[in-house]
Amino acid sequence: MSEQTAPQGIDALPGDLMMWVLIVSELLVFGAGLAAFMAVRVTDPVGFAEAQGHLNATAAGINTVVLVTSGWFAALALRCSETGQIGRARGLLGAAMVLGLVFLVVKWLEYVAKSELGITFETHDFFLFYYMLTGFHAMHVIAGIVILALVAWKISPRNTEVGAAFWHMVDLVWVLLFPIIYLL
Amino acid sequence: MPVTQAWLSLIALSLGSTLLALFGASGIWAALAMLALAWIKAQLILRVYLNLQSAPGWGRGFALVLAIYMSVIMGLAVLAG
Repeated sequence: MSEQTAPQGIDALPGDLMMWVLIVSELLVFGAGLAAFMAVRVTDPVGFAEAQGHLNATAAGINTVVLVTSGWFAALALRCSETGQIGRARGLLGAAMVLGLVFLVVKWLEYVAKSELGITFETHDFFLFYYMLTGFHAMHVIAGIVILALVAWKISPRNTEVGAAFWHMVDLVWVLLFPIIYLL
Repeated sequence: MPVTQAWLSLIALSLGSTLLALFGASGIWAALAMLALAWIKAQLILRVYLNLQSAPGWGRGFALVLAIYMSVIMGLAVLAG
C-alpha cells in the first residue's frame, strides 16, 4: 500500500506555476512604482499632500469595496467550478466582471473630474505617479475582465483557478495602491 | 479561513482606512495605521483568495517579503513626516 505525501516545493503552490510567475512579476513592477512614489514624496511632502487634496478618497474607498467584492465572487466561482456547479460558477464570474466594469466607470469619472480641473501628468510629480500607477492598474482590470470572460466561456476548474488568481492579483495591487496614493 | 469571512474582513478593513482619512486623521501615526490596515488586507488576499493557506511554506515566504516591503514603505512614510 502506497502512502500519499503532500506536494513539496514548487508543486505545493496552489494553481498554475506560470500564473504565479506573472503575479510575482506584476507585484514587483507595481511594488517598485509605489516605493518610488513614496521616495519622491519624502522630497516634497507638502506639495504631495496639496496635490492629494484634489483626489476623491470616498470614490476610491467605494472602488476598494467593489474590487474586493468582485474578488470574493471570483473565489466563490472557483469553489463552484470545482464542485461541478457550472451555471453558478458562470454567474459568479459574470458578477465579478460587472463589478470590474463598475470599478472602471468610477475610475473614468475620477479622471474626467481631474481633466475638468486642468490636472494633467505635468501638473505635479504626484499626478505623474497617480496617472501612471492608477492607469496601469486600470489596464490590468480591463485585461482581468477579458480573462474572466474567456474563463466563463471555456470553463473548467483549472481555467477558473488561473483566471481568479489573475483577478486576485489586481485586487492585491489595489489594496496597496489605495492608501499610498489616496489616503496618506 | 473561509473566503466569505475573508471578504467581510476586507470590507471592514477598507471602511476602517477610508473612515480614518475622511475624519481627518493625519500625521505619522495615521499614515502608519492606514498602511498597517493595507498590510493586513494584502496578507488576507494572499492567504485566502490566492489560497496560500494551503501551502504554508510559500505562505510564510510571501508574508516575509510583504513584511519587508511594508516596512520600507512605512519607513518612507515616517521620513516624509
